[in-house]
Amino acid sequence: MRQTTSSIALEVKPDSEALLLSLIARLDRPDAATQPAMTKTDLLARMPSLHFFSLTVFPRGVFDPLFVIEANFDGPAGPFWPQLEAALGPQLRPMIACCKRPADGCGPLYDAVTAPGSRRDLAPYLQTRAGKPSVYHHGNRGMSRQRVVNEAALFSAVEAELDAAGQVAQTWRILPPADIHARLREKLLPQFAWLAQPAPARKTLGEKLGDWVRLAVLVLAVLVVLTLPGQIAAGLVETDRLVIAFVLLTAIVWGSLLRIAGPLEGTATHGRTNLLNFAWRQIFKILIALAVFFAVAMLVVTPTTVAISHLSWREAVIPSARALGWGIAAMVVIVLPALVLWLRWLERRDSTQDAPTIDEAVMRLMREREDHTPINHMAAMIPLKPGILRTVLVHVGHRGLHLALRVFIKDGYLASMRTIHFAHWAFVNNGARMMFLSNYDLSWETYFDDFIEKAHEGLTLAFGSGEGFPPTRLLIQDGASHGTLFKAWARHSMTVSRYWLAAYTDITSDQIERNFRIAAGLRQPTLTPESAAQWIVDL
Amino acid sequence: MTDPAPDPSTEPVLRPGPRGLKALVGRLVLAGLPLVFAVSRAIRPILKLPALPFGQKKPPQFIITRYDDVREVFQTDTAFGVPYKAKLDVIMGGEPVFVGMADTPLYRGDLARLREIVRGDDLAALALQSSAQAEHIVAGASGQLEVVDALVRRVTFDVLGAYIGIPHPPGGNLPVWCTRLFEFVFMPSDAQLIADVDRMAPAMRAHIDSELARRRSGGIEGDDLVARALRKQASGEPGWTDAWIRTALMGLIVGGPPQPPMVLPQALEQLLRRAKPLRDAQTAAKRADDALLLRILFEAMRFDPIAPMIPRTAIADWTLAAGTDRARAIPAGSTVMAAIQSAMVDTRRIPDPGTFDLMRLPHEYFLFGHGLHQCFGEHINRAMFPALMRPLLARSNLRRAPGKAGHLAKQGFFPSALTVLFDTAGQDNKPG
Amino acid sequence: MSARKSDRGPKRDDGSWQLTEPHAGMAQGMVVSGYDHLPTGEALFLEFAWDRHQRGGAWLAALNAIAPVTPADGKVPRSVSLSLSWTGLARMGLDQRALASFPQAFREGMYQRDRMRRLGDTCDGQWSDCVIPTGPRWSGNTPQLPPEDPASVPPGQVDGTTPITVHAMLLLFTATDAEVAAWSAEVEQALVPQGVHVVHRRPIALHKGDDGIVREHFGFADGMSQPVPFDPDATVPAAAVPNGWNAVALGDVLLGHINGHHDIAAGPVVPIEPDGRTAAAGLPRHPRAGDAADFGLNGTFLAVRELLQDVPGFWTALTREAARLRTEDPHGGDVIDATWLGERVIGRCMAGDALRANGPLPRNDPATPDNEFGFYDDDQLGYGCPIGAHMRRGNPRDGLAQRPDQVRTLREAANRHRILRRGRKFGPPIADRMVDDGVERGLLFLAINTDIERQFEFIMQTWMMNPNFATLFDEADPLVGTATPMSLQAKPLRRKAHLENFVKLAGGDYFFLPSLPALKYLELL
Repeated sequence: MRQTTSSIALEVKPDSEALLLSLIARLDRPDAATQPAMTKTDLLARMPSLHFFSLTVFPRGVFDPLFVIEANFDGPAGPFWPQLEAALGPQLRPMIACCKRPADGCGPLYDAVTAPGSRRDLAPYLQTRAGKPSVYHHGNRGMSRQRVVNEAALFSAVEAELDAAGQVAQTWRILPPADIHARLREKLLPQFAWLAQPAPARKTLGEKLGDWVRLAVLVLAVLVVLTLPGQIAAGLVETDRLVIAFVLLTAIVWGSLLRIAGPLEGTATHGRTNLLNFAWRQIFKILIALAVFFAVAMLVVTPTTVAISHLSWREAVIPSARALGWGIAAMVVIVLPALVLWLRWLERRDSTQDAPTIDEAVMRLMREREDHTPINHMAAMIPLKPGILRTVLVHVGHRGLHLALRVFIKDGYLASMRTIHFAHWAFVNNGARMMFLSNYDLSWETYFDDFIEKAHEGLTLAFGSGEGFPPTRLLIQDGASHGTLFKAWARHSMTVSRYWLAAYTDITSDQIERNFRIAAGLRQPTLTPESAAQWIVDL
Repeated sequence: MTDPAPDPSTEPVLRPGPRGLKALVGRLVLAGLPLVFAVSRAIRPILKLPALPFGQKKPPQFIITRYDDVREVFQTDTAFGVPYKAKLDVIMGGEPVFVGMADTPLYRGDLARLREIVRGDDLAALALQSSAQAEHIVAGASGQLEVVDALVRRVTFDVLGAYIGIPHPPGGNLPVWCTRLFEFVFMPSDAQLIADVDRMAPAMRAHIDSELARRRSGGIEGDDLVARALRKQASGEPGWTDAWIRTALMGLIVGGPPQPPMVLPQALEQLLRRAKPLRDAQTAAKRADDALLLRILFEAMRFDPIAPMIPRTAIADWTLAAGTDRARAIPAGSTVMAAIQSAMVDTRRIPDPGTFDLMRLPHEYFLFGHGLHQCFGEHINRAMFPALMRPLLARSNLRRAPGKAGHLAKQGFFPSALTVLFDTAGQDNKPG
Repeated sequence: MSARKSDRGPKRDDGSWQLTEPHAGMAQGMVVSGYDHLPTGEALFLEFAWDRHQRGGAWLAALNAIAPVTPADGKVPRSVSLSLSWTGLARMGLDQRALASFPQAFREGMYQRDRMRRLGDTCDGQWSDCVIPTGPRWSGNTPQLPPEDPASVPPGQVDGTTPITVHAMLLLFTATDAEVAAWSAEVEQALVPQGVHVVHRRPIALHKGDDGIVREHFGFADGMSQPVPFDPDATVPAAAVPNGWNAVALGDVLLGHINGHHDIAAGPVVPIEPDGRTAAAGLPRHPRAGDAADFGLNGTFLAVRELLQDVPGFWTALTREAARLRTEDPHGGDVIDATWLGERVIGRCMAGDALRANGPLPRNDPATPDNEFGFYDDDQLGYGCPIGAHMRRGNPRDGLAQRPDQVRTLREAANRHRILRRGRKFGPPIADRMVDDGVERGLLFLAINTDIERQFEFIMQTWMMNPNFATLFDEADPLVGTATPMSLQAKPLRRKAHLENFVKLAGGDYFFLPSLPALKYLELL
């Protein structure tokens, strides 16, 4: 079953910030006199599709405070909002009234839901104001909440069965794995009738195809834009001049690039990955993509050539191929390096925040709330670096990252880590800032150290567009490798997760997959000795 | 309709429905409604009905088909009132009754007073009586049973009639009178129906008045609602006048018992169309899991609720769906039809509405209306529905009778007959 | 396995390293040496009880005369190490700005509410079974701020205040017992007039066995795996052995050097004032703060935990549990006895060799257990060394890798959380491990690290006490963790041992181990 990640960012009336904070605080500590105590269990029963929900108020700074409602749930968004309303409607309404009236057409709806004594449903307002994440990642994609909970219960039952004391215990160890499987299944089937049913697909074919198509469209679009300069030049200029210009530009771009590509003093981190060797490792994929692009583009460029010239179809093929060929060559040799050069030029002038201010009271508040359970929540807000290149990069990059995560992450592992349940980025304040919200396993320290040590290139790519980020080099180098700097920067960008509701707090992402494997095995009536031997490792 | 109980009247409960072309059109319209609703939800969710070419200047009529808007209509009782007052005045002889009121202190007071005698701890007994009588009927039916009249209507009226404390009127039949008065209040009426009501309403009032007098003179025995009300009256609590008691009890008996014979057979018809839900219902019945059985019946009713639409009258100008691009001004005086059947299958808010799903949440149903006038009898229904249906559903091999009898027949808006078959052998061995 | 061995034949890392000048003369000797040649000693825990008019550094001058702190520049016949708690520094009158420039973990101490919870010392606000029932006896008693959100504190939360307040920890290392007894008496006598009292003391000894192996009280060979720091500018050898298993950046061991996260391990600063004290002490100017001197350079932090070990309790419980496991395993359980189970709790055999599915890991050097190994290649599933064993939780090496291409990254990642262990035993060795002799014994655990949160606390929280470590569920470290089951991976089916805690925290805190110039500065206060 598909999961949805959604967040609603509402600007707060500055004078209502304190009231908003107290309203949120009251959710965890209902005033017995005025509010019936609604336990988290009650709330979760009213929102059966919910996985994780949070309320955060990003404090004022350059902007007014921002109230963020984050929800991660099963199925489409439409049916979720009434669930939220049924669970928390009366509490949410005054919070929304603490926020500004939207200046766009949504104003009358805001008036309707915030009018004193209003009985208008919140759902339509929440839905209208819900933003689309620029990137989201679901570590246990396709696992519905019910399934997570069911399979965790199965796991407990399996453990209890295996560890039952006395005579029973003796018999397990003399059986081969396939027989252990068969006997466990027989014992558990009455209690877990769903083991007899086929497992629902976690991802449908349509979903997978959709992800691929979207990624292909994005790649094609980027290639079209990047090959245009070469194509246009090829259309306007004779080959001999073209060659001269090509060589000249190549020399200029690469000369400049090589001159400034190195690290600024004291910022090198000797990472193993850079853009060039990353591209080299993907060389076959890149060549295939270019070949496919060439073939597809010919289908568009040839008719265009026919249309704008007097050539016949047959005659148009060669000039079209020539234009495309130049386009691709120029992209690889000049356009992309020129963009990198531009980026490097910017990077050398970036402001890095060496000592981000960290409010110790806020920090303590965060720490007080962290690590009570294996799963934690964090919320961060990052102002974005200005300029057209940075803006285009972060938007196209986020789109690409999102689709790449959807297409290529099949087992929930980001590099070697599977610590995320639901995480997302979204642009807020009209694209001036991006926020990052994550429901992750283990402590904040671990979560970030893990990424710094195991995937700093990805981290640099994803966060490097943020103001004050540690010095980056050529998009993915250095940056987050400066672990101490990066962690201070990340902590400073965070604020307190004021309210957090989780459907499960002790089943880590890794454990969900373990339970899934155990359940998948037990759904099979029999296992071969080989697959049983593999299956039993998880018990 | 076989009713062996002493019946002083030979009048049928349901009036004959339309015949011929008119009946066909009626059926086609009903059958086509889901499609009309679906189209409306997609392109014109707040649908203004065209004025008829030769009609007089009538107030505009709107059909509301989306979940959000139906909720808004029900929740905004300051702008959308119940339209029953005029007709209620006719049957109640001008006495105000809560069903027809706006959210006033009077309304709240009436409801609160009514709740003093209709109590939560009555529900278990009502359920017990319903299942006992239903079991008796089913056991005596030798494998073939007509559900609408012989089971549901009989049990409902017997149990609720006894609970309220109103016996058959002399020379009349309680189900007939109540059903006719119910039809008058909540459905379009014709000359014949008005004539019936003109005869039955005063007689019903007189019947209750005479019952009150008779019971009072007999020293107030028993624990039915009549007795409870008379005791309140005797203790001198304010408001418990004869007229108030009569109106309240008449409201209960006219508004309540005619409904289960509509919705329960409709629910059974929906179950008979679906193998797995029927199987689940039978399992739940055999295990006497009334909570689960209720969920199954509710979900079945979602596919065929008591009425596709519930009317409201705009008592003030109101912009429905304000702030959305479908916002529409509804002028005061308009009739607004809240299409609950449509709202309950609106994919915008109801997940997989075509699926028979037992995990649905309360807010996904409008079976009892919603908001201020949410059905007063909801709790009684919740207790009685599973109890009443359990004995039949617990029978093995429950299936339709062959031919037309095995499919739900309707007379007008009312289900009239549905015959089912079941195995009788070995039923006593089944675990209860 | 044989392929792996031959692979790294020439790249062996013998674990020895030295600081180069000027750093060797600045850092305390304890950083570079465990004083293997000084097997006896004593830990003196000091409280500054002087009146408010006394100069804060005076006692250091007195100490210097009789037990000068040893630098890291050579072998000495006896050695002194001195570290201070945050309250000790405050009591000595260190400048407020300087005090505030210490990292938060040190400023808050080990008994800050949230830290106690993370370290597993409290559970739902009460002392966990990893702590002696009365709560720890000593600490720096750092004053605690009230919670920002009172609702986050469980009702009845213990407040972490200890009966004994320790401002400084003085470690004396000597060659013989007699020497230490005389010396420590002398030191104590010299300090009393300065208002410095010894409020707690523990003998610290190696108790090397006849075979030359140091065993902790349960009987296991100890201190098997230490990180080897490198820094191009400050160590010999200057670079990590390629593919070495234990290389860490010097900045993870000493402040002021590049750490594992490519940044300078930032330490505290002291303001440069006109009195010239910083210059007199030889403190260099801080590279980032123009008006301050680098108080941290070549200093570091110590996580100190005095752990009481109940030896007979441990072995009795293991004997009982081994018997239970044996009965559940009628066809293959003959090998299971208390020692077998204890070895799995540790992850090494009693002699210190890592466990593998078919016996202990073969040695390259017959004299010492091999320490150049990973888990991914030949024990990924834990059939030898159980996945939740103490040694594997303490340093998972490459064992958390899922695929071969992750091995290097994961090993390097694990090495960014290493600590240099300088702990020593206290209490006499037990005569019979099954018989309670009523004597307190245990380990004075001393961990050197520059980033308490990323190193010591990370190890405790993310590896040791993490109920979900390496896809285990609801287990903790079998040696120092709370009582939980422990999965013992096996074919066809894992066993599950139920273990209790017999290693309990009796006191401890975070200490600053200053460089010699920093000590000089303190002396001048």
